Amino acid sequence: MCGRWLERLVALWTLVFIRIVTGLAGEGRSVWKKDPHFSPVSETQMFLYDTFPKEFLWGVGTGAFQVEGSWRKDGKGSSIWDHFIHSEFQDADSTDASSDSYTLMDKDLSALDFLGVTFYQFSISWSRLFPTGVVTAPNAKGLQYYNTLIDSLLYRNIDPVVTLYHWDLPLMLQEKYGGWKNESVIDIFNDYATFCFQTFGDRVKYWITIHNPYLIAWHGYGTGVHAPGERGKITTVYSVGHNLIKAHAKVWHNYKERFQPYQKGMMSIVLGSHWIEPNKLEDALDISKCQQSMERVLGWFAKPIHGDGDYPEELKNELLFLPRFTEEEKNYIKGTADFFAFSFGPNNFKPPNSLPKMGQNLSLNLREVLNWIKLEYNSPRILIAENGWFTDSHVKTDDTTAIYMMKNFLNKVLQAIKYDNIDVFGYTAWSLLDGFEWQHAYNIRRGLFYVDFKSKKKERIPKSSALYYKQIIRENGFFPKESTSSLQAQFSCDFSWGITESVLKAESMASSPQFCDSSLYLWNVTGDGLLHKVKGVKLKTRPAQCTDFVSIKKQLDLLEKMKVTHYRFALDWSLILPNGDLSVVNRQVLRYYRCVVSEVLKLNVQSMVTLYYPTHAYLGLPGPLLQAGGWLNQSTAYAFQDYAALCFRELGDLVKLWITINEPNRLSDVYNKSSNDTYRAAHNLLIAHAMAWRVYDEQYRSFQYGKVSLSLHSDWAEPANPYSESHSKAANRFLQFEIGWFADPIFKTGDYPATMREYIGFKNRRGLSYSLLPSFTTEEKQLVKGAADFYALNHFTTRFVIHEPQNGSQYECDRDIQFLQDITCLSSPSRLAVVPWGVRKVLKWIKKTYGDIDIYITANGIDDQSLDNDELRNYYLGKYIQEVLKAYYIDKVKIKGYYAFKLTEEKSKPRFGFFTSDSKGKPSIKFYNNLISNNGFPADYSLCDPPSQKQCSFCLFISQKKPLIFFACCLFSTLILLLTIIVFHKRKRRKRFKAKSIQHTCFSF
Amino acid sequence: MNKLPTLEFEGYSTEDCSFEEEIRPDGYNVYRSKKYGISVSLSSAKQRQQFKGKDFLPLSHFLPMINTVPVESADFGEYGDYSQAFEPEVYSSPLETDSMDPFGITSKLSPVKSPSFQK
Repeated sequence: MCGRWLERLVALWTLVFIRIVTGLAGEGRSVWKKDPHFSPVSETQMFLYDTFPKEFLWGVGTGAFQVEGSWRKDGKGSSIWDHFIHSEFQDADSTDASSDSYTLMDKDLSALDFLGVTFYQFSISWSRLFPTGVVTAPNAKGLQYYNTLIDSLLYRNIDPVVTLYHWDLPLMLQEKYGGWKNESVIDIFNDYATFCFQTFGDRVKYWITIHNPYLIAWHGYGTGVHAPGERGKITTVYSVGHNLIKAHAKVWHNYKERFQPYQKGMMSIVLGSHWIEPNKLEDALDISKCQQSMERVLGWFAKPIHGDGDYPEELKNELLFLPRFTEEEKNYIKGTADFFAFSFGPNNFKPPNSLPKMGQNLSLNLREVLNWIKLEYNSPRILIAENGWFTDSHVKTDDTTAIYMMKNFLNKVLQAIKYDNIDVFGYTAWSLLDGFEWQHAYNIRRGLFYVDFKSKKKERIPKSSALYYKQIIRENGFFPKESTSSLQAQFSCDFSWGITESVLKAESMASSPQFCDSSLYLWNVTGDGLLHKVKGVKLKTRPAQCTDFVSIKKQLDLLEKMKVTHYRFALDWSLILPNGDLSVVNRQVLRYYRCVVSEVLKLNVQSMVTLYYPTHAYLGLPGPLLQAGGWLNQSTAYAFQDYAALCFRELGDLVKLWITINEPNRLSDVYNKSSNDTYRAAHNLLIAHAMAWRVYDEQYRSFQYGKVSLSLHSDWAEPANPYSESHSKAANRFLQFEIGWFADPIFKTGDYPATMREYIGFKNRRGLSYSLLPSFTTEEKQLVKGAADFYALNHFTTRFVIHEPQNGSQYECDRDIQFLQDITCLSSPSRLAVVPWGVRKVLKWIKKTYGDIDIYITANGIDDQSLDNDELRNYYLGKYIQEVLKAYYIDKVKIKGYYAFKLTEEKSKPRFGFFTSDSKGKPSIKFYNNLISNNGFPADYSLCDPPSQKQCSFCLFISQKKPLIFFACCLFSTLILLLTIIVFHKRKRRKRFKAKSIQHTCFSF
Repeated sequence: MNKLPTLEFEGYSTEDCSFEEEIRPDGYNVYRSKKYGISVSLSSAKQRQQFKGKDFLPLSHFLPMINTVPVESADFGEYGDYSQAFEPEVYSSPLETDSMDPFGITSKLSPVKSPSFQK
């Protein structure tokens, strides 16, 4: 009996204990418990191209005080903000400027029409309706304004979403009662709300009681950054919060009981928050601090209203002065919202030192906050009631960063809806217009429409972000830029699949010296374990063999695993010709390279040899040439010609594809003292390449039948802001400065691109640059023009380009370009954006610009940190090669080969290799093998049976049945021999017989 | 020659573990300790006793092999500023909430880099 009782007690206490624990824990903290090994290419993390739910509401918002202006017009009373800016702000006059929505309603309405939104979220200025705040006879002009606004919106099929209180408390209430510190304001607010429901409720279906009560309490009564500008008393802050919650609850009940039954509207309160992430991903303490940080801001208001009616436990424990709700009040407050209205914007991140960060890191990951809300407040329906960022006031209509902020935020919302099943039913972009931005006054801008506050007409000019938002609303989501679906096709049968490697370090000596030494040794004769030379004996040494080079064997092993048809590697000029001229030729090194080529050929792999492959760390010029000024000295070009001729002569019988110089356009990073250095070096590089090509063309082509070109670094450029003409021009200019600079002289005109010359000239005339592009002499023109047999490109990524005027005589400055990193785009650890369609665009561009020439992609690849699961590389290869295939198949670009970059990587450098620096293979090798053996992405059957196999089915048969054939041949020849002997024998016998018979007849005579 | 240093491990010291490679005319190489002036030998204490006073200890000659550990490329004077160890940049930049570009997506002067040029 007693035992059972005890059992029950224990069970009860356990239950209580568990409840307390779960209550303390907060469901939301599981948002931070992420898998640290998540895949970089996991679908749920990447940018989502999809549409929002069909009924999704698209809106835009403003606050009355921010845009209305006319603060003393038509009988409007002062608000605390009117008072605050005139007493606190130094240049109060400038704050009188405004976007004047009160007088320019039509302009606002056209702006809304332009966007195509389904709702407009605006706030009513309390003191415009009731100048003292107390409900008496309303100010007629103010009433008329809001009535007209609501009617005009409905006429345009735009739902009004009306906020009753967006921070502009009538000044009288502040002065008389002390504002929200005083509980009596609650009833006055309720009266004002009642009036609004009576007057506008027939037409308004969405009501917001208060906008972001956290900021009102925290900055209005704590930091003093906002009106009324009271500072210091933390108890005041929380009692203001307490009153705001009660005011909201009261208005909600009021509406629910008296108006909702016939007006059928919904009501909520906009709660704003920051988001935060733990310092250390898996640290439980850090995660707890994040949870606390969220509870202190969002939980403060959300838990009473959307949760159990009371403040978060942690807040109650920490802040002993926190006002308490009675049980009755808790029940009254609990559930007083028909949906969760959430604000996520800069105001909740400012000033950063006023936020309870708890030593953790602020984050702008909207998807994660939404997940936190879902877990903490039992999956509410959510309206994003304010979201966006800001631009500095000097940014006018080209608000490029705002586009990318919006793109990021909105895609996170879409991901939350699609992957996390969060019920977000609407989105409010903030804001419609540039306006007064609270403590920042007019120093930042948040509008989708630009307003010049000094102008008379105050036109609403759509910014790029407005055009972008309009497009998203029209498409109800995100559509991929590149819409061609995946192709199932193959490359041509003679397509070359290659792998690229940088300079091969040649072994300067055969690695087994024993075989070169002609002496004979005795070992360990005296037991000392040493070798003793036998005097007077000379042995014949074995002639040099390629197997003497140990490192070649390793290369072969790697290449065999790659299953490529082509191997691209580079020679070391300074090793082959240490003096820079032909006075000393290192034959050993040449022999090494020849061995690489010939050994690789035995694996059926052709070589593409790069003569000169400079890098940032190793310029690769022979010492004397470097001392003579390197590429700034034209004699280097002549030395290169001699070097190239030597290589053609020594290796040309085996090598059919030559690259003279790898990425000469990147040497601009080395010769960067002044733009004139850069252009001079480039000029000499062009001449050097052209002379090498001429040598080949005139002296070697006739019997070696190879092809020669140079590899240009050819990344694609896309305007960062698709709506800005200056960005489009900048993108084109980038291509001209990067690619056209080298490609135009060779493949087109024999001269630098006109765009480049003109732009530099334009900057010269304005005194922004003293750069001078060298000019080609007539001979040089003839030399350079047409000096390539194909176009070779190294392509890695696409850059988003911004027009940004720069001052200075530097190559980097001359083009006036700045880059933008799209954070919504998948990128590698070294920040290369993965933009597969970029390669197709650059290939099309080359075809369009330089004609229908043969093209080799001589390097394409990505860095991936993972050694045992390099999914990013697989993804990259698959997507990029698919786009190359589209260029080949659909756009008919003559692509002859694809060389993946690269075979092995260096230590402590970005991991680009298929093999690590110590030759460990990664899984992507298999992936690339597959692409190669399929020759692309074939459908069911292979169009292209390797013709060599068909032709050689007989050879195959022979090689397989060799012993049998040999045996058969032997048998056959033995048979023939036997037959001839027999025949011969028979004939002999017959002869003898004849002779005998003749004799016989003779005798018979 | 008194007591020879042996591999009685009492903690790592750079001095004790540094050897200079020396290629002999016969093609073998020996590894000499700068600190002790003796070459590395795989012989036992007993074997060592017998060879007191000789030039080389028994089992101290090795066959040279090509280095398979990649050597960091020598820096190229003023152009060598990219040689520092690479660190992924993904998580490095903190959020600038005061800026209109909190993620730092636009950067003032960033040269065009190529993986096949930067190494």
